[in-house]
Amino acid sequence: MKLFVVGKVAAVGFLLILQGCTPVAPYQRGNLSKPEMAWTPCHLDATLQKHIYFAKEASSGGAEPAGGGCGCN
Amino acid sequence: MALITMKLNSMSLQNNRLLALSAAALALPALAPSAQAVAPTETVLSYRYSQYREEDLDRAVVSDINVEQGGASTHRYNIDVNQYSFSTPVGQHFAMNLDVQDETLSGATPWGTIMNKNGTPQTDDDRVQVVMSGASIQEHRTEANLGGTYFYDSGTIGAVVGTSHENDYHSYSGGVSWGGEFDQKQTGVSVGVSGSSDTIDPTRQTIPDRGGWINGSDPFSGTESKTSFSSYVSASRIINPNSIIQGGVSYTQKSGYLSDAYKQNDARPDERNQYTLNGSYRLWLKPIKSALHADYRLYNDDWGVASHTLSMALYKNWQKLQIIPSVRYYTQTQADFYTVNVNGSDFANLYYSEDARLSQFGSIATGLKVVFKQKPVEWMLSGEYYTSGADLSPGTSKYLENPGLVNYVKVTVGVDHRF
Amino acid sequence: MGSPCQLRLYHTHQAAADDVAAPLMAEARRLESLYSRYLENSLISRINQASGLAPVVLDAETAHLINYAQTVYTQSDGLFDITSGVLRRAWNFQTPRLPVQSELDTLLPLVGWEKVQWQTPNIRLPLAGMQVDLGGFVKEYAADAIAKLALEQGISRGLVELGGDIRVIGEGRWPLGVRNPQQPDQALWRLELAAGGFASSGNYERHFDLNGNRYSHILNPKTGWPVITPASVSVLADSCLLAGTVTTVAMLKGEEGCLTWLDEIGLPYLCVFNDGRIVNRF
Repeated sequence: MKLFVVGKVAAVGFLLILQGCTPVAPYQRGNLSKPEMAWTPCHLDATLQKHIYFAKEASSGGAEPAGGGCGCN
Repeated sequence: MALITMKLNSMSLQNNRLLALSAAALALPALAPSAQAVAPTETVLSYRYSQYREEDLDRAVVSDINVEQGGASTHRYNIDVNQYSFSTPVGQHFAMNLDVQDETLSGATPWGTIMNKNGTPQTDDDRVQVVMSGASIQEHRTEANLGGTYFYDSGTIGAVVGTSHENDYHSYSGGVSWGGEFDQKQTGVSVGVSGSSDTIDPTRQTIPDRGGWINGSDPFSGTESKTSFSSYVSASRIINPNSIIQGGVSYTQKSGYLSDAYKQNDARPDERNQYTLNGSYRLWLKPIKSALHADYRLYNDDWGVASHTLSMALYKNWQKLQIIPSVRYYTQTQADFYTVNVNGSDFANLYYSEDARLSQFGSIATGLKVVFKQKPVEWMLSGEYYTSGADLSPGTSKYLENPGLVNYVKVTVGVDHRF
Repeated sequence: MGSPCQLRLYHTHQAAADDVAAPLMAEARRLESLYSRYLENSLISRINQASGLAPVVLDAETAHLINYAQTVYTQSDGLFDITSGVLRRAWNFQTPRLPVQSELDTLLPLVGWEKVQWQTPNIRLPLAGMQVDLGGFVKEYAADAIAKLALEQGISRGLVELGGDIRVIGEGRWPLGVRNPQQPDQALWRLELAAGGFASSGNYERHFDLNGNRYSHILNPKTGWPVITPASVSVLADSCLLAGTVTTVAMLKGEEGCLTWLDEIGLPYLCVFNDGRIVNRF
């Protein structure tokens, strides 16, 4: 239940942010298109990082494609 | 009031002028918008070598209960990882990516935990102890993932297949995803589904039979399997020329044999439903030529585990160097069936586990990465220190901390070559 | 096109990039042969040679260009005028000499877009000696045209630069420097262009200094005299054409009026004044 409440708040917050932003033309996106502004600038490093956290913690997953499992323990 | 009217007038004037010029420009044949597909134009070869070292345990928390079976090691895992990646465009609208990861593991792992004394621990002397395997485990794991992405006018379609093999564990996975851009590419939406099918065939003969402490039966007759299905939706939005946000939800269902075959007392439900809610933010800090990354994930599952993960990183450019300090905080609640010391009465329950990873704990990881860019090559060196403990999660007793929680150091060197 | 040009294309194969480059160069030459006032046989020269005579029938592309010029004329309140080229007979920026007013007075009657008889697709310059000149924006238009052609040839990343004006092909990341008007070989400001066009104009380009005054090649079509322009103006826009036009009109508006114009338009800009003051809206 708690999760849903938090989800609702986050969704409303997201919508508010969307409303508050002004159009950014393609030619103004020079900074946004820098590789270090990517969601995952280096996928190889992120893959290993996720793999290790998966093996150490009870949580896994996120809004991105999931890979296969491993017998990590 | 007059002031506001004036401002509105000047705004509509501004729009009119720009609109009039734009409209006249767009009437020209060379300026009429045309569909454009943006596929990557570079071939990238990457290599990483990582050394992962878990800190030794304090001798005082290691039980010598099964010393005669090779146990009581204070050492834990050392893992050496080689990663290879190759990505290349294929024609104008298609790109492929192959990742291979190869791990060699050695060391010892916790089998379970035990109370030094009966009753709730109150002092250092009677804190929980860990029962360790012998320091002789050798493992080898190889994973490969092959992906393809098709780029069309305003979006991408991707597919990936993967496989991972250990001598006792085999996994096959696959997934498809779609990404679209709207509103002059200001808003992005991404959805994906993936699944995996795993088989487990425990082979480590040196491990005492699980449950053997109680009834001597062999739970490892034959092969076990599990499947997982995962789906996600995320949306991103450009806020201004220097920042962008993303939010997403995911759902994963795992079913089948979800217990840990290498723990002594471990019986978990055969289904697990996991939910995540996450938000990400990227901010370009012009004065210091740096990109600030902030990521948050809320996780919840029907085993009773809930967690928060907050990560921050700063990508600081300095001439040919990029320096990336990062910090990550993680905290989770324990699973409903987690017990620090499974004993007689717990076996009456359907599910039980002593696995430290299902206890309540928190962790902090700090990292530093340095990238040296000399076209067409980028060299990188990174290090991470990870420490975990019950005291990093508010509201837990340090005497009840599961000593199986781990601290580790990871060092990575790597190189990317672009063609 | 009378100034250094460069073309940068990204392709997986060098040979394919070379193949694509050839038609792009051909496109640049095509536009030059149509719109250069220096070429005797260009379409523009033919229109000018027919001044005072019969109308000339224009093709669709040229008609759109003329319509565009007319729109800019209106939006700039008559400052951007493709008939003002005739004033160059009185102004020679090779030697620091001021014309006498009588020279200008004989030329000014030949200037004024409102005098041109323009009924798409027929154009007639009513007075003998009148001229039209698309030089004020055809270079920027060519950059857009070449970029569009490159996209159609399958180039998804690249850059066209014609005499300092830039158009990105597709999307990418292109580092740019805005020239320092005091030291034009140095960058005053650096930015990265992801898409669209970039244009800049400065009074360091073509000018002469006399008695402590700088006379730029930007002439007011109503007075015939050089405008006291800002030291430089740079603009980003969806297209190189739009960026170039807004830049040119800002120069025509002069030190006094350029910021009002630029703010009204609302595109990102950087303006440097002659006293070194910088207004950065990038």
